[in-house]
Amino acid sequence: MSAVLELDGLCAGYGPMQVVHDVDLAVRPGERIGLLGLNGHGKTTLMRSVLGLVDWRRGDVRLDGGSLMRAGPHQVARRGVVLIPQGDAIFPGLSVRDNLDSGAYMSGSWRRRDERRERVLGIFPQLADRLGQTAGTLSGGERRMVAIGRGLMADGSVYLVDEPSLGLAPGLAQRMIDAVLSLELGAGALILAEQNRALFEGRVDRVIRLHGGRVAT
Amino acid sequence: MTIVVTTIVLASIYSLVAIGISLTWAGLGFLNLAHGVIFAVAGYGAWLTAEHLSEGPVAVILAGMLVGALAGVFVCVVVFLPLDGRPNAEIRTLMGTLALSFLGVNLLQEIFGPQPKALPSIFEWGNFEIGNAVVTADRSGAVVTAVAVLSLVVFALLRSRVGLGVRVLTQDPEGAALVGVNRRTTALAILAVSGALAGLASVLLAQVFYVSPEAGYTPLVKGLIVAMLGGLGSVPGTIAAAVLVAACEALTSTYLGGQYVLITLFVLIAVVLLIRPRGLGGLLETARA
Amino acid sequence: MPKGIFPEGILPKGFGFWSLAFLVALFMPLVVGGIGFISDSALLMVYLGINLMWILVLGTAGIYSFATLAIVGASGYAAAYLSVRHGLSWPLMLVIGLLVGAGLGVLIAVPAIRLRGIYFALFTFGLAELFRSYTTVTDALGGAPGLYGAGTFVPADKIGTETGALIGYYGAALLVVASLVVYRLVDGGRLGLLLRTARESEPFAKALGVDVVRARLTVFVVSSGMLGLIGALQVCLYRGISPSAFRFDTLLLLFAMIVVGGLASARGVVIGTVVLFFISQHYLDAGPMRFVAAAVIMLAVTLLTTHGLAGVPAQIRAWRDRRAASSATSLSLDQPLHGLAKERS
Repeated sequence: MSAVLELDGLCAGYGPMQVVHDVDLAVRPGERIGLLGLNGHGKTTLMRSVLGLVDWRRGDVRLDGGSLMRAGPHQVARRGVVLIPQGDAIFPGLSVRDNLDSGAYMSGSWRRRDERRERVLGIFPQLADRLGQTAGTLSGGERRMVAIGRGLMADGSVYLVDEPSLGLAPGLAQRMIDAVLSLELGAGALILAEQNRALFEGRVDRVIRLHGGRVAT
Repeated sequence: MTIVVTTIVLASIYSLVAIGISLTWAGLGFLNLAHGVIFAVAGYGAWLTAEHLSEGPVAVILAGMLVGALAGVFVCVVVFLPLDGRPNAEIRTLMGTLALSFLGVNLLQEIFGPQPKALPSIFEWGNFEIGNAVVTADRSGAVVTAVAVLSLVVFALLRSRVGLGVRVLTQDPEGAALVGVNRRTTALAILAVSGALAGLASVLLAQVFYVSPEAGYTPLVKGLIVAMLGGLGSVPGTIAAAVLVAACEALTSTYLGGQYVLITLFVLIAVVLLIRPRGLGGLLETARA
Repeated sequence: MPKGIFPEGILPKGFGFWSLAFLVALFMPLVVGGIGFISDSALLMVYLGINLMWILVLGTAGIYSFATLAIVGASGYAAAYLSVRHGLSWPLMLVIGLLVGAGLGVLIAVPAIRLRGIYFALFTFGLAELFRSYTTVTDALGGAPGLYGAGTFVPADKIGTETGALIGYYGAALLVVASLVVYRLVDGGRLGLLLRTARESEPFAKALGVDVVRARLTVFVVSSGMLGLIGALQVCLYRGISPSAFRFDTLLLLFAMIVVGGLASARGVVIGTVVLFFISQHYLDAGPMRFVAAAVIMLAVTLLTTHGLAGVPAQIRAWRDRRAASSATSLSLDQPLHGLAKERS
């Protein structure tokens, strides 16, 4: 079975600093991967380098066989790679509804955004009352819901989720992980990065450990 | 009452110019100093249309807006797109737009000569009175057209997909890329609309003044002032600032005399920015500024 | 980067350039002669002086100021007014110019602390326009035609002759030398070093916050004082001043000159100023087209070079280094070493 996402000798870094060293990874269709690693060991940079959001990279990144190395970040997103970044990557000045809808920006999803929004509100019912509220005024947990919700609005194939539990109380953190893991992948894939293995133990198909920017065996 | 009328008329026109500048800055990160020359070029486009094609109001207005949009796209293609992402881009784009302004004004002077040209009257309905103020057709026409077009733009910004893309870009360029917004094509859209609005302002102002190569300087300065006061990137802030600036100008003209307008404007800016260094927009929403 | 005129021990790379420049400046007006050419050269000197001070502010201090003409003109007006209405002698005119310039510098610098870069730039843009409209309508300042009959350092019997023009020219040239000295002392000295390091290293800048602010303000006031001096000198050269001193076109031309030269070196300023001055003066008959030519050059330099013409050697070197690195290790550079992430910081 051919891989949906393939990292081939991927190196990446910022300026003179190399963060990711020679990462090889083949993600199978439908696979859920847990990416484990402490702070500063390259999880975020690895994900960002798939999108091309680093200063430089070497090697290859392939989506369904096609290389992503020449594509700009928005093109990679258009090809179906959805990155839910660390922290609260929302649009603080826009309403919750606009934030969610932006996740469906790409034409295919746009037409079906109402039904997709309903689905997301089903997962995070708290947001239903806050659709008109400016996202920057929400509480920390709600902002995270919007960030993840935005990612869920897209009709992506590969989802890269960077520490959705970061900074949240255990109950909320678990809800976020549940929401992410509940994604129906079809032939796509999910990579979930966390520092704490217990958060996804037993619920992913594979665990990859990143240490010092290298895949640890 | 005359002051109120003047304020409304001026505010409408300044909003047209300032919103383009504001959105360009917030969405793309550069200050389009070629906006003034776009204004002037659009005026000449409208004039040429009136001279050779048709003097009808719709034709003249559309010509102004179309030429303005094309000029905006030109600036985008020649200056913004080639420099985007390159080292030192911010200051180089500023310089590039200045160079285009320099080039454009002198090219216009060369082609059309320094003598100003007049546009035909577009608004043919008569004058009417509110209180003790006489509202001439060109003024009421200016307000009606400006408000109509601005409403369209605001509607598009709030409801359309492209509009959301623009707003998302003003909030966070990286986040915008993540949801698939193509910065470069959105840039074309932003500059085209901004140019069209400047073109409309040009035609409306030319009803009272003239079309000339340097006609764009003052609107550029006023537009920059309004955009700055409104908090670059905030549409409601910009409109509020336009009203403020227009009121200041109307009051100064009436009570102190036209030559003091710039001075009082300066004092106003100083006061506002001292209290709120980010402009009025911060009061109404948060945006990248 | 090759600096200015004073070698630090070893002969710097710029020595040949500057020697040639000085020789040309010293002898060219004598050799070519003619009042027209000499007065043109004097104007070139004025522009050179202005631009040298301008890049001190823009380049060294990193302040986005477009107040240059406003300061030059306002100081000039002060000197002209006192001379025409109150008979001030020319040495005092120069002193007044210096003081008014420095004073304006202090006034303008105050908002600089509070306002963000781009807002400050807009504010300074508007200043020249403000002064222009004010002087045009104020009768005490001569209104639209301006003030005439100011004092000058050219002896009365030589005014209007070639000798007189030469004296004027050498006076202006002397001022340029002074500007070069000031530039060298500030940019190459402690202040310049402090400011450059602050720009390259944010933690450093934060740690020395107050010092950096004070350094920038000092540079701004010093350059403003010099600009005022130049403004007064210009009044001496032309025996008067008018609102056209604040013309936006002139500001743009000056800006084009330093853009073409690059913001970071005195050498670049000389190159840019001379090139564009030549184009704008020599083709006077071409009318607006000569400004079009200048603008095209400015646009081309902006689009093609990172730091202006003076920065081209460095740019070529950097490009060659990148190509060597990339072929050696097959680097995949999606964008020139400034990805979306980095560019936004």
